[in-house]
Amino acid sequence: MTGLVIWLRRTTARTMFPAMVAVTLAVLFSRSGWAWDLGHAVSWASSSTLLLGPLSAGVAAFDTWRQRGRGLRSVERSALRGWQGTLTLAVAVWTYAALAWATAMALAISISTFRYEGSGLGTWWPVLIQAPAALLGATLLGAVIGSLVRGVGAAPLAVGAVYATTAMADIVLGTRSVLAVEGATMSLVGLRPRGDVLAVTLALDLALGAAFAASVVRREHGRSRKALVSACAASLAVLACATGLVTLDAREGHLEPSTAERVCVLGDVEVCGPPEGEAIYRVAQRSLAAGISQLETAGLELGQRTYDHASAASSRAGVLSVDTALLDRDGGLDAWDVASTLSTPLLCEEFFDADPPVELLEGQWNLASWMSDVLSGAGGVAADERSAAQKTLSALERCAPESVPQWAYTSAELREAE
Amino acid sequence: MSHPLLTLDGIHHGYGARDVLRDVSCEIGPGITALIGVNGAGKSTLLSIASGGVRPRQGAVAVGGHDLLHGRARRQGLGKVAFMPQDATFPPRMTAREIVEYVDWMRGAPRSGGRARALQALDRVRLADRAESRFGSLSGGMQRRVCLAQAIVSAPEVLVLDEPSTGLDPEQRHVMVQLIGTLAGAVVLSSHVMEDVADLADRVLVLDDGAITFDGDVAGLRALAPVPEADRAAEHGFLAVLSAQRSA
Amino acid sequence: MIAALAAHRWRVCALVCGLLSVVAYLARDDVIQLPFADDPVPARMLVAMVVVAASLTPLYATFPALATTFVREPSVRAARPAGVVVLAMIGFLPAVVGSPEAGRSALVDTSLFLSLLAAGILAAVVLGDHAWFVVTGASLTVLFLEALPGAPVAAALAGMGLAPPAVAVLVASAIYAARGPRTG
Repeated sequence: MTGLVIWLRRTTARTMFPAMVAVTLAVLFSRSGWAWDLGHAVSWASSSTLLLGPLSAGVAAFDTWRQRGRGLRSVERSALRGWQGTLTLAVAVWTYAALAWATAMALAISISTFRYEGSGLGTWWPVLIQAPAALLGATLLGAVIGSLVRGVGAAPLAVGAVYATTAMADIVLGTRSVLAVEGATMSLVGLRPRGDVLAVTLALDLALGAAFAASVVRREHGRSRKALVSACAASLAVLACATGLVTLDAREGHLEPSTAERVCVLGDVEVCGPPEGEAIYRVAQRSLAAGISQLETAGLELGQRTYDHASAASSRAGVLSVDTALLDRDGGLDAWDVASTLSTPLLCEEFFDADPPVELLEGQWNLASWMSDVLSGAGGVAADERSAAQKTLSALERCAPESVPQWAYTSAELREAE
Repeated sequence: MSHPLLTLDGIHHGYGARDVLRDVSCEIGPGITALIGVNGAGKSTLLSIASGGVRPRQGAVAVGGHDLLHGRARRQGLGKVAFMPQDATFPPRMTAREIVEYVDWMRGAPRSGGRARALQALDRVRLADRAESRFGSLSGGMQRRVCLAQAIVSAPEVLVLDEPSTGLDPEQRHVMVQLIGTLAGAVVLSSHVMEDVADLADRVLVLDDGAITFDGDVAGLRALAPVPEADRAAEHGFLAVLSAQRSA
Repeated sequence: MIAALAAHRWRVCALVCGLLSVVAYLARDDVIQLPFADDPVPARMLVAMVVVAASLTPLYATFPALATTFVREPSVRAARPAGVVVLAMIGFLPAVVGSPEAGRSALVDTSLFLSLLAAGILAAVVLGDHAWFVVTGASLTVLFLEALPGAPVAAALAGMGLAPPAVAVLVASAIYAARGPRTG
């Protein structure tokens, strides 16, 4: 413990800590919309490990090379706890990196909880373990490189090594969450992490960390047989976990649909979906109600009043489309999201066919473009356009591709771009 | 020797194809034992082996009866020995007290009281007033004294000092010699400075070409000199040992 | 002369930059899918970052305590950033010269390269051996931000052009020549 306290005071990571926090906050606020569901907030906040991991590795490599001179190393070789020397330093560096990550995480959870008005991380709590484990593995890799490369190149090499490890894991194993946590760039409502993939990935990070730790001890503390055995055992664990990830087909994704009971926000328009999206549905309900009113004023008759988010194919409701990043910007659903939602009054089974009917897809696109122009006041006032829109809507309400009229509508935005 | 504190038995060691130590054996008890030899004779290697920092290719090392090379006994042995390296490159940003406290903890001392023990050790080497100075800001002589303080802080039974007065000016060397003279237990030190050896050592070992070629006291070394009563007789005696070895 | 080159790691740096120049030329039109980017980024961008990190090594202090006592130090120190810039150019320029894709993308990547180089040289003056943190930290952050919708970094660099970062390299080099790297 004494060693850890001393290294916490003397590691370069202490000086770099403000920069680390700045990096995590830059990552957190580089995108918007994550605060609307806690899973997205936690996932996005953890994506800072993609930067923190390499930086932490670089600091560990730098300190291992620069701070731990020959004198200290030779003393540690004949000291009882000497084998802990570099590991203690690595843990000190990791502590600062983990604190930087925790700062962003705490902020993300606070902001999201305030908006989410809910409680509990639900199925996303494992990320709170996965991220620190990934950072520890990355830091220990840096310590290994610092003990092997005794020069100014140690730190940049360590940064590159962690980055390359994550990239290679993506190519070979199909997951980007090795020595890092891949963050979601879109809403995770209705999704949860695949427990099996998450568990194996976490085990892989821990096994990698153990292998690196044993390697550092063997390198720095004389040719310890215990360290060699530990390194071999950890390497076997790494191999087993990697095989596990391939077997689980992590390439297919690390998320799966959640099975939580759905909630509904009631009113003139009813919006339903997984419970973690309730804050979104309240906003969507108001926007959709206003949109329907505006479209009906423009002469369109809309029958559907229930919209589902992340719904099953058997649902008889319309499909809610929402971009949470735009939700942040406008305070309500973006006009395109309203149009896209109202133009999908039913989730037709035909959409899930290998070859979905082009008429339905094109009809839905034309209708959404027209609705978007009406809602934003950019056009759609011609009577023939309104008539075509009505017929298209009716066809979509009945999932009747043969009833979709021959109609091509170009939105005002596209017309301007052309 | 009845109860040696440090035992080296049949030590063989080398680097690559080069043999550095050949069948070195000795028993060392309380008092100051000086290990002298030319550069490259194997002194630093032998001291690293004696302190448990390097495992020899062959042979046995024991401290206070505990095998320093294998198993659980190694833990007990390591707790009884301390090493002062020749190269005093400690973390420059750590303070003198932090270095001593850190090494004390590394040597297995309990955390409680660590700060007090560190300050006490620094006081013994007359650096109490510089305890909170960063190591990098200390002079060479002070850095060597911090190096000595980290070795004595855990009150070891066996103290291994690799060229403790290297690079020190005459006054600093005098202080270092005085400090070493006050140490208890078995002290094994290497040195190129024959005056220090003559002042301090109860026993002298000459290491030449990987083997011990003289094992006696300072008087015995002087007796080998052409003029035993001369001022530098110990040095001349050492040279005579080397000369005899080479002509053999 | 050879000892002088070895002292500041010029030989290793030249070798690394030479190898990177081959990589830069071969990958000049390639794109790479990064772990956290939805869209692939030009390989040229990665080459720029690695070249800058590698080419800065001669700027680090080799004899911190002795350097101020060397008669030749002021003149050699002035030449050092020039040498670094030359090596960095050797490493990076094959990625943009002769590329059929030369245009906005090459301009943006060259602007990034020069900006990182200026930041790295200045970091060596201010932070000494810790300069690597600035270069790698900035590189990783740029890669991350570049993955955002609208590629804000590329947009900012395109708007800036080449002149400001080129001037920044000159200014940073002049500061290095005057002050040298931080020691300790």
